[in-house]
Amino acid sequence: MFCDTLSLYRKVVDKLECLEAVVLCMLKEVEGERTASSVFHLLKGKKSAQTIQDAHLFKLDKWFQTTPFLTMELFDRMIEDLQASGSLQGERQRLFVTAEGTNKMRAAFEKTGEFPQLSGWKLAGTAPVFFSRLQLAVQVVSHLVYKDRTYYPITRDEGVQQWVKQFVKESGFEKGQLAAELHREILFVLEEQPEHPDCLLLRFSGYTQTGKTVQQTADILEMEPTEYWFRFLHSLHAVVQTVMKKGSQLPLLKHLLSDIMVSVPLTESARKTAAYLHKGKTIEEVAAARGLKKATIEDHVVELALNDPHFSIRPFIDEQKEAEVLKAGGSSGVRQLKPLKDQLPNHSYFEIRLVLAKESGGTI
Amino acid sequence: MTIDEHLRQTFGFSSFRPGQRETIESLLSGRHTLSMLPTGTGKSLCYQLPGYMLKGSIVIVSPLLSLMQDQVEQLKVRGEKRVIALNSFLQYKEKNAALLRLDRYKFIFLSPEMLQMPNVMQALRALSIALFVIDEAHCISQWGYDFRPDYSLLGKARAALGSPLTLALTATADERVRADICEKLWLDDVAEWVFSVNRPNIALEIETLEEPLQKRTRLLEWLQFLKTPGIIYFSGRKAAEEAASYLKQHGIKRSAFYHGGMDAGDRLLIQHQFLNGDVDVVCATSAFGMGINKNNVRFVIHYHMPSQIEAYLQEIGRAGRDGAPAIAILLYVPGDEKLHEFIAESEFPDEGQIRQVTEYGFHPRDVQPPLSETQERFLIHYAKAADERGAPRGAWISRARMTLLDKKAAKRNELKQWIESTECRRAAYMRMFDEQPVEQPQCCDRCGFDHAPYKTSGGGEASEERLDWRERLNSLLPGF
Repeated sequence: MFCDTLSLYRKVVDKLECLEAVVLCMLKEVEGERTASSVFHLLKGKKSAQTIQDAHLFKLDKWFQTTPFLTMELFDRMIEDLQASGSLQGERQRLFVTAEGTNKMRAAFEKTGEFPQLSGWKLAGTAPVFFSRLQLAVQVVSHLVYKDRTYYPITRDEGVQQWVKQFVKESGFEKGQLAAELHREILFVLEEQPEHPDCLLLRFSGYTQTGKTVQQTADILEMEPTEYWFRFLHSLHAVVQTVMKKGSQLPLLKHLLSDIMVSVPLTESARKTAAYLHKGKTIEEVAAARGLKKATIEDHVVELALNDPHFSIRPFIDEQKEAEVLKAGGSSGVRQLKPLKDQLPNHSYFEIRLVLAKESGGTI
Repeated sequence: MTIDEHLRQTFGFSSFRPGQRETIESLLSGRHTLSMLPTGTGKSLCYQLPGYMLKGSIVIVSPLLSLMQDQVEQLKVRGEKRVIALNSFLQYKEKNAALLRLDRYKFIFLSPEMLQMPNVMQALRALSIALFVIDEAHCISQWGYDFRPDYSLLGKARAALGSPLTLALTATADERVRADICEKLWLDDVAEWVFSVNRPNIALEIETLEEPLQKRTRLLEWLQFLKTPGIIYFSGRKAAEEAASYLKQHGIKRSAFYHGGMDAGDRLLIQHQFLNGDVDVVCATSAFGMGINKNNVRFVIHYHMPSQIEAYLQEIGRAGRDGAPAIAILLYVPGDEKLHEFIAESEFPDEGQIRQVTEYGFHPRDVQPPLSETQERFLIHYAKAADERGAPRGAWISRARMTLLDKKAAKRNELKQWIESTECRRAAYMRMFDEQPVEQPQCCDRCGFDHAPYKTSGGGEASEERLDWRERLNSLLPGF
């Protein structure tokens, strides 16, 4: 499957250059405005209003939930190392990336690129399910075409097993044709994606090969493990996007991508608040009804503005005030709330956050 | 069909392994049966085959989730679809759906805690149960290796199901443990089939080294000499990983590591690679091996001393299932047993953790430092046991902890003595199981034996061919 795939003990031994570069790049964006922990939460895809907001405010949404293997412990150690080596300055609450850190980051990205097609925010939920289905589909079809019926499935997830069984049954292709068509479609997407095709291919099992683990693939391709991890994810996200765009040419892959249930990543609590708002309740009424603080409900409203493209912020702020925030934000380029608030004495913090949220939510 | 016809037609085997026929015939004659068959002799056939001859469901209680999954998968690979595993992995909905149509399954695997659930028991009671199987039955006994407190409630559950025909299976149980198994299962008239723990085709070698650092060099030397495939057991995850990377660096390319801390998907891939021969050497913790059906394992090396003789026999039993010569090597440095003292302690909650629950009324989940799954299970079980007897919880739990720790220490000591003894290794372990020792060629380092049968013929390391990715894709999915 998909997480904890990097071995904890290897991480101690190796320098994780790629992950370091990613962390430096993210810290650079939030420099002085957010703590190191906010970067950790982004990488882990924490479903809190703050983290979701940060992802969009600082344009870091592509990294959202891209490192399932990361632990707090490893992250802390990495920050300490970066401080000790002079790549970071300041304390954990307010870290600055030094020139040395910037060079280090650039050097790493020179080799790997900045993974432009990575899209954590949009695909962190979909991509693993798609990959799991694809892995099993390749295995089943491979064994079918070689007429071998005794093999152990690559995943034990019964949901995926049932799904792929149906998929093969309903594909509408004959056995031989099915393999040829799947081959054609995989070739098509592998040629369109930006990484070495073996980043994905080595992970498949079938009649002629047994899939490799993340660690093993990194070793074979002679990559530092987190470099491999990001290249793999980059490749996978690119493939998913190709299937989304060119689905009509890729009937099997399009089918594999269908009905993956990814809910809008709302917190459970925000979901409840949304239901109340839907019935026409005001923020104060929701707070009273749910026995929560007003500020909490406001957080939920901001979260909804970020996530739901159909969510209207009009009940909470009028057009004129919205325009004022956009103007102030646009002219200064400031994403920290305090300076904006200083420019807008008649706006509440909530109103400012709400407008910023709606604006960045719309751009993804 | 006769049982021989079933063996051939359903399972594709030409002959029974020792103990299988006796066990199956005993069950078919309607007797409760306890069978002790050495590891690696096909215990699961003993309930699978009768499954096809008896009317009704076969209910199998199994202590380990991973083992259960392996067994379910093996049945499915053979084409048997009427299999289900009821365990904590199942979603609430899936479980309820399964319970509603439980009669559609022939083989129902259960973890012991499932038998504590009223809805599961209700569904089971509605079935006609042809056979009730307790796998790894020694777990039921306090005296047995790997005691599981929740196993001790099986007797009651069995009675509640109308005392169906019962099969208790184990690989390692001395007389005391076997008696305990029958008592705890409330079985009175039992046919006992005890087969020798001896695996004659496995030669035993123990090497005592002076210090831990020598082990690595020695391990490499052995691996350059030995015929693969093989398994190397370690006491810790970190040691297993480090050894795998050390071996790789030193030319043993097709090696990998395996432990319980890995992602489930990765563990599965390593298992498949080992089964398919992509990986020849697995550096593993004890999490590896249960339920893995690989017949041609040529060696098992213990890099660290196991916790007790039962664990040792269980693990070396994964070698030579095909009957061909195999070798078991144990690398020992005096003091290795300290590690197990530490591991044993960590299996139980400490006094402070116990007090947080018993004196301050914390929920086990809120205890600091947090309890492991095993610790939590232990605590809950003995708290209940204390309540039932009206005994004070704190004292009761502490006493249980002390008793079990003492028992483990005694078992550890027994193994240490076995290692240090100058006697024949085989004779000594057979005596531990109240067996009459045998003399045989290719026995052990004390008796002396020829290493030639275990030597690699060389050239086994096929060079890693790197296919072009297009060729790789084309061989996976040909026809385009």
